[in-house]
Amino acid sequence: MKLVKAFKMALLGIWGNKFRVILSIFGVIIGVFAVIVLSAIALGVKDTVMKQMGSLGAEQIMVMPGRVLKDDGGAHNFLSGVSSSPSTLTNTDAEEIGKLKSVESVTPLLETVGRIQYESQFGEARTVEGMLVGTSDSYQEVIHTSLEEGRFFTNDEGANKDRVVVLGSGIHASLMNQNQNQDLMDDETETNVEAEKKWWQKLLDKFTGNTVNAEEAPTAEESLVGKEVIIQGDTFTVVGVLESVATLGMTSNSSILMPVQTALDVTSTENLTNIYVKADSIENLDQVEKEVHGAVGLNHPETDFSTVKQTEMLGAIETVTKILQVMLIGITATALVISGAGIMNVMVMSVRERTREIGIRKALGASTLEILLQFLFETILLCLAGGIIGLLLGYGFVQWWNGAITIFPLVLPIWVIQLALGSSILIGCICGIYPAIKAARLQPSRALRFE
Amino acid sequence: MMTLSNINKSYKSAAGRESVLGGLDFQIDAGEYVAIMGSSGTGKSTLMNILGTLERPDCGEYLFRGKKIHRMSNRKLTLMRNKEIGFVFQNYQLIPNLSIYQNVMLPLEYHRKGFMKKRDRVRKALMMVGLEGKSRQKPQQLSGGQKQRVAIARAIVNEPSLLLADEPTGSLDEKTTESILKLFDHLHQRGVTIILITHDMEVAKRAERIMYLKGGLLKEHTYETSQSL
Ligand SMILES: Nc1ncnc2c1ncn2[C@@H]1O[C@H](COP(=O)(O)OP(=O)(O)OP(=O)(O)O)[C@@H](O)[C@H]1O
Ligand SMILES: [Mg+2]
Repeated sequence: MKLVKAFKMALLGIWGNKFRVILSIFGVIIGVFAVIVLSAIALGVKDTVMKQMGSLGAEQIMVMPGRVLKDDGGAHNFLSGVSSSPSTLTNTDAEEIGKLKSVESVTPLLETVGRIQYESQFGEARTVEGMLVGTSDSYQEVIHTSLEEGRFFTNDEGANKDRVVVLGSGIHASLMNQNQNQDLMDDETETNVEAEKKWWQKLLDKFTGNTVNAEEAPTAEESLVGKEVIIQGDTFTVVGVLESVATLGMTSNSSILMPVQTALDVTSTENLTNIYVKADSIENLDQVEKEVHGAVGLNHPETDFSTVKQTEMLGAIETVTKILQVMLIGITATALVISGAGIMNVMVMSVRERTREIGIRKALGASTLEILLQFLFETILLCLAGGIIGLLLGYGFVQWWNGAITIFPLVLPIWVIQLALGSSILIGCICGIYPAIKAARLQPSRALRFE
Repeated sequence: MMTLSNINKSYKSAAGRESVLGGLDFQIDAGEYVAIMGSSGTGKSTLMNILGTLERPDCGEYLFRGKKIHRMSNRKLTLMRNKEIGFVFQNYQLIPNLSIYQNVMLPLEYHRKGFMKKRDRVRKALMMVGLEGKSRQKPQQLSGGQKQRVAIARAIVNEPSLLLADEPTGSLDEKTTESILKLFDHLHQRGVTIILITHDMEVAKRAERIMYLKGGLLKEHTYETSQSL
């Protein structure tokens, strides 16, 4: 009963001071908005990276150039330094690892920037730059991607240094783009029909087992599978196109994939960027790591490489996100304390200005507790209103981002919302208690004489 | 109904303690209608605050309906005040942010009563002072006399047994003063105890008894005291 009354009085009190109210909750709005957006970004980045790293599988061991410092426990300490020495890893190292019995698959990775050119049937040439990746057929497994059409190259093709290439969806689209634009200029409706057909084709391919042969590849400019492209001056045959993925960082959309042997042949690069190794089981991962280390060490008398287990990578990311979280909490606390101080100031002024009102209320039957609750609720409501507005703005921002920007999705879990609203209420309680006590302790006769 | 004996009240001021009430004795029976007169600054409002339990005397005894006011807790006093006493303050004391209706409703806000009943009471009180058409307006939209009537409506809305009115006709013309005094007569007939503070002898004459505050003491009004007014 008393609570309801005090709540009602608080609402009326706020309504009577609209302008000041809006000004005073500005800080809370901005604070909560910033917190929501920052946490959504931090959590979104963490989620995306974790998903990518996590999808590698726990049996993964990565061989990377340079030495990662180990801390006392023997775990790699990524934060205190990865020496950025040029890679000395070679395909021979990958082959040595492949000889190990406890290793299920080895995926060498050679990454360099390359150019790819395609000349359409209309005689128009288009050149695109992309990430040239030399690897093996197990790459698909590591990067967790499947083919949109065509097939992946085989290890035999690698051994023969065949000029075969698998295109990332982005590269494929860019190479096709020019021709599609031409279609657009010719007839717009026709393009729509084309697109429709493509979609049907895709669905049909899925049903029929997704093995579109290079020779059977759809006519004209629908796909480059089976077509010839020029990379680094050499002629390559496109054998497949990767499915498009919208992710941050390790995206394969702009990749130009070819067997690692071919890549070594056509580029000036001699060293691998890194090597992914998959152990045959999780149990003796430490043992496998040692063996891998030994195998690579055969050709590296001086240790200029590191072997890192997947779990260690995840741990490193966890550490980074923890630091991010601590920073976030710090920002939240600072923002809310500052806005809380503003609100407290406004409320103290409000109590002073409304001294007579308080005197009248007390004279006419309001108890000390009712006055206390009225002003406390007023402050809490202010903070909560600011929190809700900030939350809505933040939510709107996250929605907009996720709709318009595809690099990585922002994540807004319910606990962030609860935290934001909870801390607004908490700030309201903390900052409201002093003005409320000040109001409640006013002596009615004196308050009535207040000018 | 009320018995005050040896009431003392002083305030701190620049020149040390300034005594306002010194050893005041006063008694009033239930249903009595008393006017208190006195020149400005003699402590009439202070006395009203003490009678209305808004302020505690420095020393002395105050019995209200047999209860020892000077021994009661603030919480109990608040409850009692809300039920038993109606206040007409000297400067109207309306809350500017609230409408006339909400201002009159104030004493009932702290009552445990149904909404409909409260609303009816507010309407009735506004009707008695002739302001039923102004309930949605804000105090600053009213004239001084209208504000005074709102203050009176608020004082009677909780149907108090004691009405304390500090200069309720101070800013009213003769006609309105007369209607207010008629209302007071009406309340008096219904058994409400009324203490009316005024400067106006004509107004004071409507009461059964006239008291005169001077030198911190209340004296019965006689011909002699009236000569010294
Ligand atoms: N809270 C207070 N602090 C200090 N002095 C006070 C306080 N309240 C009243 N006084 C003093 O007490 C004296 C009596 O004041 P009070 O308001 O009771 O006079 P009054 O008889 O009502 O005068 P008026 O007819 O002008 O309304 C004044 O001198 C005033 O200065
Ligand atoms: Mg006075």
